[in-house]
Amino acid sequence: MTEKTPMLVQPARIRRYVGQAVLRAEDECLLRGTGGFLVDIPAPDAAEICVVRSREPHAIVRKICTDRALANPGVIAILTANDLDLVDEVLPCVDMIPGTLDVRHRVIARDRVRYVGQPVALVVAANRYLAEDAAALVEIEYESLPPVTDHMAAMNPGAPLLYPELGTNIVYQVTQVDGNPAFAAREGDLVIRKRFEFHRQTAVPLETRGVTAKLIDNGERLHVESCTQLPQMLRTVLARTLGMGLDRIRVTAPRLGGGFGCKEMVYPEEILVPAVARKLQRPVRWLEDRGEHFASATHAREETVDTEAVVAGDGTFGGLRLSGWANIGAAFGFVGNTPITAMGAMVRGPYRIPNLDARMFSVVTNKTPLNVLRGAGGPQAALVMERLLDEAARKLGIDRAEIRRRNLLHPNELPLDRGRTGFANAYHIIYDEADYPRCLEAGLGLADYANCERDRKEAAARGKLRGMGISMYVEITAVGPYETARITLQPDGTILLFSSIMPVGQGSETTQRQLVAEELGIAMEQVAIRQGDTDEVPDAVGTFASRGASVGGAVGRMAARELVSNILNCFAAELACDAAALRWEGGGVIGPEPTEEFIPLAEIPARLALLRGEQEPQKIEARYRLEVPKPSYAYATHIAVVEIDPETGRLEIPRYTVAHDCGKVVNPLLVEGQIVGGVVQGIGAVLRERLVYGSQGDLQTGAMMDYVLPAASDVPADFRLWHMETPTSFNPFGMRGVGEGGSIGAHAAVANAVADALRDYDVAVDGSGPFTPAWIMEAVNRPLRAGLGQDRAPHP
Amino acid sequence: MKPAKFRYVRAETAAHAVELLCAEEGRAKILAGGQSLIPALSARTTSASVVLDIMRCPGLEVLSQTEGEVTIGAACRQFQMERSPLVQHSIPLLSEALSWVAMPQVRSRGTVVGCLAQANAGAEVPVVSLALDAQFQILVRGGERYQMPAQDVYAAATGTRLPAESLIVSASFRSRAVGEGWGFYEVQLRPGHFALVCCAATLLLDQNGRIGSVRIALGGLTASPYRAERAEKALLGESVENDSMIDEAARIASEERPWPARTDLHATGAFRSKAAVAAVARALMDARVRCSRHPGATNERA
Amino acid sequence: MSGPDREFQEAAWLDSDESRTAIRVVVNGKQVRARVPDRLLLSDFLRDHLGLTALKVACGEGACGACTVVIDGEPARCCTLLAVQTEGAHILTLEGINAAQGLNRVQQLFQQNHAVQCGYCTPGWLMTVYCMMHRSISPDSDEVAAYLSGHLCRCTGYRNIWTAVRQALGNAAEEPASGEK
Repeated sequence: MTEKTPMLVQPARIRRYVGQAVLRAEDECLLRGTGGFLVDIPAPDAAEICVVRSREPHAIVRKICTDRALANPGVIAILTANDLDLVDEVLPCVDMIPGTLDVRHRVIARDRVRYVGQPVALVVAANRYLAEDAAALVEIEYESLPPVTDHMAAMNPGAPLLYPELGTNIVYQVTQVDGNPAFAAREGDLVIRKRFEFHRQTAVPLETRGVTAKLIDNGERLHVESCTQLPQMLRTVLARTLGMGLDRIRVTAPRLGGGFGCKEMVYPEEILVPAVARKLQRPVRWLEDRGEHFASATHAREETVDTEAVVAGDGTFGGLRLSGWANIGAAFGFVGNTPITAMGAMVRGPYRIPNLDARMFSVVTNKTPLNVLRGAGGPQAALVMERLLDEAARKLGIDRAEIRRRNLLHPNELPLDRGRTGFANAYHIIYDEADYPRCLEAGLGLADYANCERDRKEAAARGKLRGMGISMYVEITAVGPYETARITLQPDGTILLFSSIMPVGQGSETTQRQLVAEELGIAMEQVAIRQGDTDEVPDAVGTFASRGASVGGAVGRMAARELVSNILNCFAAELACDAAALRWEGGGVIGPEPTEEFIPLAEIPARLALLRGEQEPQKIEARYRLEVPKPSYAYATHIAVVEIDPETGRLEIPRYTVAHDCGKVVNPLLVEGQIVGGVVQGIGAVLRERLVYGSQGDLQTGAMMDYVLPAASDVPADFRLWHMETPTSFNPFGMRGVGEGGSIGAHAAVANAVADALRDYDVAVDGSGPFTPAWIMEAVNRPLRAGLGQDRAPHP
Repeated sequence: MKPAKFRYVRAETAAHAVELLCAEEGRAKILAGGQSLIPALSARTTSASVVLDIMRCPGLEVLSQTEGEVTIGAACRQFQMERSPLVQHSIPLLSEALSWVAMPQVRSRGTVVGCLAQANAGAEVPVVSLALDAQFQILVRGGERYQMPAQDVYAAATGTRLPAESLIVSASFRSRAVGEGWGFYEVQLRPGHFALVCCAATLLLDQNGRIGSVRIALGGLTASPYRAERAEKALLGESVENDSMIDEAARIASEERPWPARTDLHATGAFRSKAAVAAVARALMDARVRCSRHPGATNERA
Repeated sequence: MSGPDREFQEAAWLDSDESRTAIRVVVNGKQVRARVPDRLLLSDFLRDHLGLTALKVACGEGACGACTVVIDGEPARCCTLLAVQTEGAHILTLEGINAAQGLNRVQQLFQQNHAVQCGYCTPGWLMTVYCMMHRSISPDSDEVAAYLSGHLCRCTGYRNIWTAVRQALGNAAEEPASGEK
């Protein structure tokens, strides 16, 4: 079943900002080093907090003794669960569909710890040095319980239970079906069965987390600052957990030094630090260091997926059956069940595959809680699909580009309802307008796919194994359920936009200002923007799921449109005429006939004051709430070339190609930045990044040199990028999100390129690796693939 | 990640530093560049009662050359040695290896001798010290100084055999002979990260144009670096153009490791043992390119 | 900062038996005298006690480069240094090379090339580029890759940073005297 929504009518105007590579005004303070991150906000009176964290992966907490620690110099207080006057201790999870067991994260451990890094006590001291000294002296008596870290093992009978009262470690399940879920293979069909493994990753924004809290307004209100993508959600949770009215809490979030999903969370520390401030009646601050970040900031991506694909002899996929299990760690992340749900929801990507039976599960283990990370399950879904396609191509002797052509949905099949999903908003996955075949051809052409075999031979002559990998994906972006914005024409004639979107590096401030300036027909310099303060923006959904420009920008623009309407009504009232006799053009009001006087925006407050006989100009405000019933979907073709040195296991990516569609591009400079940044993150993820737990539940990767991020040497030297803009009727301005796609496509493209480079070896590329030198060395020392030359897929 | 308390002392002389080391009975730590010590103190994986800064001790900043060797004092920083014309001319293997150590922003502070003392697995400078027959000048309690060859220092499976409560005041490296070639090759996850394996090699031909003298030192494959003496012997007297002999020597160099191949977060022992073969072969080939192929080379030092 | 003798803010360390050492160091051209706890990291001395908050501590182990400053003309991490080690040194932070207002030429190149996203790592890069320019490193030199290997950026994917840095090095001879104080 499909439906078409008419596009909002675009006012005819000369484009001034949309589509322009406007430089970011916010760069000035960032380049001068006055960015105003949380760590830079002066807090001269604040005591510093050090969080005492569990070193046990799974244990009963028998006793906490703080005597020695309290006696240490500079210690102000040491607090545990009972000292904090918490009314409610549960942190939110928004993807708990009916039937989900309640393993929401608790604010602080009481009788049981379930992962290394879980907060157990808080040391408050004069500074961080002294706080850490005291923390080392806090004595905690644990009764160790057997840990379980492997999610597949956690489902076995007899496995240690994290929540014995639940009787199981499987806490969430969701199905996604389409067509005939009981589909079966027919005679002549190829059936491919594969198990995919996705390793554990983490976001590693350069800015670690931090929270400050102090009492304000004569002690009546609590002001909390936090590095969060969700300041409004945090305020709601604080009110609930601390038992305070919403109006007594103010949350402000400064600009973030990266988030990537790990700051799309309500963390224990964000409740604990304010609770301490309230208890001690003094300002306090907690700044996370990198060591604790690896253990206590949310993890991502770890899952196992069993698949069965039924493919006809011509390469068309008839159906896909899969089971997926996510290792969600010890408790729910804010959107902890989303990535595994996305597997079923998005695995088919741009491909028709009419029949689907997908069952997804979340399994708790004694690891740090799992949440989203750039792509939110999309990378895993795309990798599964794209590896299955290449495998089918190889077995059937069909060219890899051709097999994709045969399966792609065509524009005339869209919009298309792909079925009901388990996502929290319980919407259907309805693909909007798109041209996937054109996107594929553009990518293939740009990547010079036609010469990939020639290039492979040339590389072989240099002793290198070269491969090219194709991937396509469709990504849910611009999600709802709604978003709000408030805009003011200030008394001084400038515009101030109050936005619901947090700047995390994506340039949201610039993008929104471009949209507002274009809507009003004024210069961008006249538009200022503020965000992150719940006193100014009390209600917002937040920053995630690539919705900053597409939804945040859209609602800002709609608010500006509403402002225009309000301004015209003001003038109509003062001029005693019908609002229809006025119009907005060229950045101002055009008065009624016969004079048709033009009053530019900057002069409007003064002019209205004059008309009203008032001394002081007043501000004019507008608010808008944009309902977003259907997300729009971005898509792209990613093509990676890898070259492997079999003697050293070294892998390089000499060329990377992206052909993508994010709908209407507001700022091509920023769009390109998001794509390249996302691709390099994806490259890092599949080449080296890996969180490692020992068998005893100890986190072994706890430092920057352990968890190896991509560096400047990793960006492909030959990076080819191409946009297409297919308007989408699902977004009022035809926008799709772009922040995450780079990461989604890169996992699959690089995996396929590695598989292609190693096609002569009997090695399975069934997951995200990582494809470290050791992995590669092991692969190239395996026997050659049996039947070489017989089932090799023809290439262009 | 803040260090626990300690007392900081600027040692006035090297002897003063050793005296304090002894007085603290093993709880004091020498501070030169601090690029290993300070992060460890911050992470509290190590502690110190006293941190002894030796960077101002007279004489430790000296870089000198005598007959056949170059001596680097304990306070000489890595970046200075990397750029020093004397080092580039007389011990170019060290200069090249230094360009692989960490990153320029760390080499600005770290010292060459500090690397030797720290002896991290896979560290480049200890590997070079084996290839260049280095001697460490050690100062112990009571002012006694003596030499310790690098091969003795790194003879244990992990760590060093340096005496407790001693200070390396300088290290001397064999100067490049006329016509001697050198090569250094490192396998790493990416630039700026540790060595997974690395190899330092030197080659000198005799008057018949055959390999008269060769050094092959391997690091990272095992926790301690070692000289691949069997591989060296296999090459003596061979023609330097013999590629298959070089490959064979590389294979022997990996296999003759005195300790098990190292597995850690970043790579398996199996990987390291194979990558080491490539590292040795490539270091030898670089050395070959650089060595003078003309017979009549003497043992005259450059 | 005012005056040559700056009182070190002792309050946070009261009641503790910290050993302290007096240091004199030149920071952004100004003489600073202080008596600091021996274990105080240089990063905390510069940020918390001198208010030079451009540099950021993002890893605490010298791996990421966000805390890079210039010490005696060379780029160095200040999270792997004790303040007391810098006795007699000349330290330059981003605040010391900023123009009086607006952006200097290198900063403009970063902006024009969209080499900044969240901006947390940015001050560190700028200090390394400053050193590269003072050594007249050529944009085609192998040393460019070596210097850049010392910085991590999680946002940009580095491509635009490469461009900005090469452009900065390409016309280094034209660089006017920066706003050093």
